[in-house]
Amino acid sequence: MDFSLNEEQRHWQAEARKFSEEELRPRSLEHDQIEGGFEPWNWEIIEKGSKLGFRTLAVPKEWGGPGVDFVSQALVMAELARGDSAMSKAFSQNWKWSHLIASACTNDQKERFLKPFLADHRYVMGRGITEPNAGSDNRMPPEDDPKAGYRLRAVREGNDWILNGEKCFIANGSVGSLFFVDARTNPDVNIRSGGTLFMVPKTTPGFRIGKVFNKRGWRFYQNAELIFENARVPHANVVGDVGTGSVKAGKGDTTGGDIFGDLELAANALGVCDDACQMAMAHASKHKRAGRYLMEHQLVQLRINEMHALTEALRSYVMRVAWQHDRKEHSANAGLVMNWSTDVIQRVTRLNMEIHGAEGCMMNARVDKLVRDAMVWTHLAGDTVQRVKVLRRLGKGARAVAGANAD
Amino acid sequence: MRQSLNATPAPAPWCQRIASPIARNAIWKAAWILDHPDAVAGRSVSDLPLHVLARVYTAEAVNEIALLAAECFGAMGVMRDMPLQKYVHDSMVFVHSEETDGAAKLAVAEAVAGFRRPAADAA
Repeated sequence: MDFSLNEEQRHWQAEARKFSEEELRPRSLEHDQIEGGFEPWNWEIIEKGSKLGFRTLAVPKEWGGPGVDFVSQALVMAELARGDSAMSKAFSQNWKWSHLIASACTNDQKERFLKPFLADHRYVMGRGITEPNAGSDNRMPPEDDPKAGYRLRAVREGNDWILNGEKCFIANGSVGSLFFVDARTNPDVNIRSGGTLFMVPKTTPGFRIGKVFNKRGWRFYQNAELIFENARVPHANVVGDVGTGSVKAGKGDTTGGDIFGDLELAANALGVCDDACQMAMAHASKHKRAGRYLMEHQLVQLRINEMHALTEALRSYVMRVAWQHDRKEHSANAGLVMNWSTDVIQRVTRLNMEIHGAEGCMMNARVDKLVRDAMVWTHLAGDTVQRVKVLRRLGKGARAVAGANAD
Repeated sequence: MRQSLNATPAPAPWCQRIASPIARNAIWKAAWILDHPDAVAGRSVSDLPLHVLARVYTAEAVNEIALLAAECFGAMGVMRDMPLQKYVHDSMVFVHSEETDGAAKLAVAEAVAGFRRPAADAA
C-alpha cells in the first residue's frame, strides 16, 4: 500500500494547518464561550477561510472550484477541526451540497445557484430533513409505512409548489442562503416514492428562520428551525424528479451527500483527537504529581498510549475510506468509520480530561470544550439507528447506496 | 410521549436499567459495611475498600447512563434548553472527584495484592 500524499494533497493540508493555527485555534475558546445560539457565529472567519478556498473546496474544477479529491477533503477537515471542530464543520457542510448541485442539478440550476455560491464569500448552504417528529424515521424509515418520515407538505399550484411545515436542527439554518428541503408531495405512499427534494433560497416568500438552537457543544456551528408558511417555490427548483425520494433525486450522487457525510464526521473527529493527544502530552510533560512528572506515572503512560493508538487507528481508517471514495469504491466502511469515530472521539477526549485531572473539568476550558464537542457525535454519527443502518450496506456489499442522512 | 415508528433504538434503556440497580446496591453495601466493621472482622464480607469500588463503579455508571439517556433524546440531548446535556456534563465531575478513576482502581488493585505504597508515593 502507498500512504504517500501527492503534491496537491500536501498543499491543501499545509494551507489548512496554517489557517487553523493562525485563525481558528486562537479564536476557538472565545467563540465557544459566547452565550446564545446565534451569537458564537462569526462571518469574518468564514470570509477569511472562503478566500483561501475552504468554503468551496468540493466544487468541481469545470465550474470554477478547487475540486479537490476526497483524500484532500479529509486532510483539510481534520486540520481545521484540530483548531476548532465546529468551525471545520461550518466549512465542510457546504461541500456536501456543492457535490449534490454539481452531480444532480440541471445546467439552469447550476447557473442560478452554483455561480452565486462561488461568488459570495458569505453564501453557505444547508439541508432540511429533520422535523420535530421525524429524525430517526428519516434515516431509516419503515419500508412501506406512509406515516413514517418527514411531513412537510408540498402541493403543486401551476408552475409553483406551496410548502407548509417545519424543519428543525437544520445545519447552517440561521446563516444559510440556500437550503435543500425534503418535502412530502404524496402523503399516501412511503417516503421513498412520496418525497421530493426542493432547492429553497432564503429569499423565498413564505419561508423564514425560527428558533436558533443553543447547544452544549459545537457552539460556533449553527442549527435552526426552518418555517414554511405557504412558501412558494418554483417547479424549476425541484432536484431530479418529483416523487423519487431524496436519495434518488441525487441521480447517483453517492460521492457527495450521505456518504461524504459519513467521512466528514470521522475526519472531523480525527482533528479533535489530534488536538486532545497534543494537549495530553503537553500537560503530562509539564506537570508533576507526587514528585514526578505525570508522564513518568505508568497510569498516565497507559492512557496516553491508548489515546494515540485510537487516534492513529482512526487516521488510518479515515484515509482508507477517503482513498476508497476517490476510487469510486463505496463500501460499508464509510458508515463504520463514522460510527467508530463516535466511540474514539468520546474516549480520547475523556482520557484527555482524566489526564488533566480535576483541572480538566473545572479549570481547563479547552479540555472541557473538546468533551462537549464530542457529545454531538452521540446522536449524529453513533446512535443506534446509524449503527443499524450500516448493516444494510454490509448486507448489500458493493452495490449499497446510502439512505438519507439528516445532519 | 414522543413516538418513533422506528423500532430499533431500544438498547439504551435496558443498559440503564441494569447499571442503575447495581450501582445502588454497591453503595448500600459499602455504607452497611462502614456501619458494621464487625462483619469484616468476622469475614462475612470482603475487607477490600468497597466504598472505593462503589464510588468508581457509580461514577462510570452515571457517565454511561447520562450519555445513553441523552441519545434517547436525539439532537435535543445536546440542547441547552433541555436538562440531558447538563446531566452528561455534571456526571463527568464524579470521575475526577477525590481522585481520578484510574488512581482509585490502582488503589483497589493494591489492596487486592496487599501492596503498601511507600509514603513518598502516596500523595
